[in-house]
Amino acid sequence: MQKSLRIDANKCTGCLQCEMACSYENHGAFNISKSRIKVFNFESAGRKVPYTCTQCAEAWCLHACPVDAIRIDAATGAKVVHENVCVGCKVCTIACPFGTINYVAWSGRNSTWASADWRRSTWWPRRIPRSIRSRPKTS
Amino acid sequence: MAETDPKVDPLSPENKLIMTTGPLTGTMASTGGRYSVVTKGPLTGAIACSNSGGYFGAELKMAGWDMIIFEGRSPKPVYLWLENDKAELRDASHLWGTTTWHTEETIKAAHQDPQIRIASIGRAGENGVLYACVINDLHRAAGRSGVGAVMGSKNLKAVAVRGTAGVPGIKDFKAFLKATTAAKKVLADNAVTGQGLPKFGTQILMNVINEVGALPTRNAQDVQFEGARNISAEAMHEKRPGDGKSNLVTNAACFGCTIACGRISQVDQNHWSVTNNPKYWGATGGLEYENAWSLGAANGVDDLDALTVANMICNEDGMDPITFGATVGAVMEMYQMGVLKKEQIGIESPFGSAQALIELSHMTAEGRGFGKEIALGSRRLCEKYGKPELSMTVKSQEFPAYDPRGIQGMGLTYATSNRGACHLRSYTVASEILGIPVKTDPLATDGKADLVKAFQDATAAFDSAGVCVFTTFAWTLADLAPQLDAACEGGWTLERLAEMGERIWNMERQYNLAAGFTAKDDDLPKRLKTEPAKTGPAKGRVADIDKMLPEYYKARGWTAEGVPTKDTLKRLGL
Repeated sequence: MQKSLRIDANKCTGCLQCEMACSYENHGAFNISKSRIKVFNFESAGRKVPYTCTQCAEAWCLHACPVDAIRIDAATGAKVVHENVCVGCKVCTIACPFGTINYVAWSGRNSTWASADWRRSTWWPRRIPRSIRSRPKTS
Repeated sequence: MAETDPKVDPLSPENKLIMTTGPLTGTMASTGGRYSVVTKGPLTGAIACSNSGGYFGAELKMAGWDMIIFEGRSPKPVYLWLENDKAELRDASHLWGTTTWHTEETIKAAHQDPQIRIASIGRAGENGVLYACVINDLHRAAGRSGVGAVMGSKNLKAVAVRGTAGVPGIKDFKAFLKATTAAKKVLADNAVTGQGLPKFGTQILMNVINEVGALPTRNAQDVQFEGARNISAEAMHEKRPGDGKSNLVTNAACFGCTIACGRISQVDQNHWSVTNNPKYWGATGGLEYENAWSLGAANGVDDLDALTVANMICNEDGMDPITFGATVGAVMEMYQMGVLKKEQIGIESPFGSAQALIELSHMTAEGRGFGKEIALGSRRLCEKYGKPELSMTVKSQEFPAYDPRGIQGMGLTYATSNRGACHLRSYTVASEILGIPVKTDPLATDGKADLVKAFQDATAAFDSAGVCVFTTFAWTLADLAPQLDAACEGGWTLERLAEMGERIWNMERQYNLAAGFTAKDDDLPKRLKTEPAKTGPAKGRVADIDKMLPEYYKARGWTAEGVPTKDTLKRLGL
């Protein structure tokens, strides 16, 4: 059964507890930059809004990606980002009509970026180290 | 004391500025987002330790830093850029002379990353306003004692952090999650932290404190303010006649906070103070109780939108609204007495003048005209004009929004606070007015020495853990201990935490004693001790500090001169 998060943005206070829970669940550390949920702050309107990937049926980001880093998981049907393929061009962030795909600069911690949990259904591309970026993997 | 000589000139390169996080900062513990700025304070000459919420502290921790120590002085303006392990001092000449709001926007744009968190000083910190703050996330402040002026004296404009490394290493994650979840439930179930603070913020106190006759009004001449209703939490919820909107837009949380007491406010665009100033039209940090008091009741001003704008100016240029507002109160009293004239100040400044308040805010923030004198704080200003008795200060720092004539325990709190008069080190209002954890009589002096000591020790433990002092409305050390113990090594029991709090307090005291403070400095302004409250439940009362202070020294294990005895130091392992 497919599940999705139901978010009432009117209730959000911007405490980021959800981001911490998400990052801990996926990475075993409190690290909001790795959260699949992102709370955006609209300062002058006084609004905080949590965003997650909407998993569009026709995923523009998937088509926009020049290196096929965004693929459909055969088991779950979810569109997921393969971060060891991603080259950090950010085209997907432009393609997404909802602004829910985010880019996180990540300084060369090669050891952990391969251990992401592919079963998760939200998207989360990051930059990979410069040395690898110049020769993108295609498989 | 190991870091800085207690005799050092606070604004000299020899002073150090320390930004530090606590063990629970950046974790899922509720309110675990706080960082402290520690230095020798230029306003007081005593130890300064101001802590702040927002998101900066957590981001610092997530970049992998527990503490930063700034030494010396940069030859030119710089900002520190931290990106995980990378630390770099970058040129900030283009930011010097600008506000904290402009600085945040410019740095985020330069690094093309809206997720960067920034702590910076505004023009007040650059100009050496003695009560300048460090502002992070636009409107959260490490506010008191002038830590921003020290930052300015080092030519350090800002610290910008991006942390993607995270906070690993929780000792026992399962136990930690269990402890933090239980503690969050305690906060949610409590009437103050679960309902009062989210809905009304700290401003819920305005009418309460006014009712009990402990709202220092017009430079503490009165203890009740006739305009309190107009600047209260209830008024912030009401729709204005001007544009049909309420002052309060929403509540907001700091990092990790499940209370969310923060106020996000918006003023009427047609209000006279902002009609030509669109930068104040958007929603931003609104009035807390202390600011509403210091800018409002302390000056007899009851124009809610004007107070909100004055508060925005304080945030924008980084100055402590408590000291600033209380200093304006002293200026207004001197104007009323004829000691200061309109020609000197630059504007008519009677009590109740919102125009004077706004103009003086701009002048002080920008370092113009009479603003340069207000920048000294009320103790120095009043001495200069021969009226030292009009300065409502302890150790040169203005006391906040609770009148010791109506709440006796706060008198002892102000007199003995290590960073100068302050409510955040021992909030006995919780017990004396709100009945947390037990109700005590606000007008009684018996037992207040022990009460203040217990509050001071517990608060020191909460502050250094990296959580917010507002949790203490619901939490005791017994709620904090299991969270800390699950997160860190060291066997953090209740007893150990209490002892740690007491040790911190004694170490701060020793620093101040070495800096030249004596028991004489543990005293309240003459007005509070000699001019009885005119109205309210405390009518006829003065602050009985002289009765409580010896009891307090005894409870602390200090000599009659306020010096920790050898036995006390030995017991605490100092």
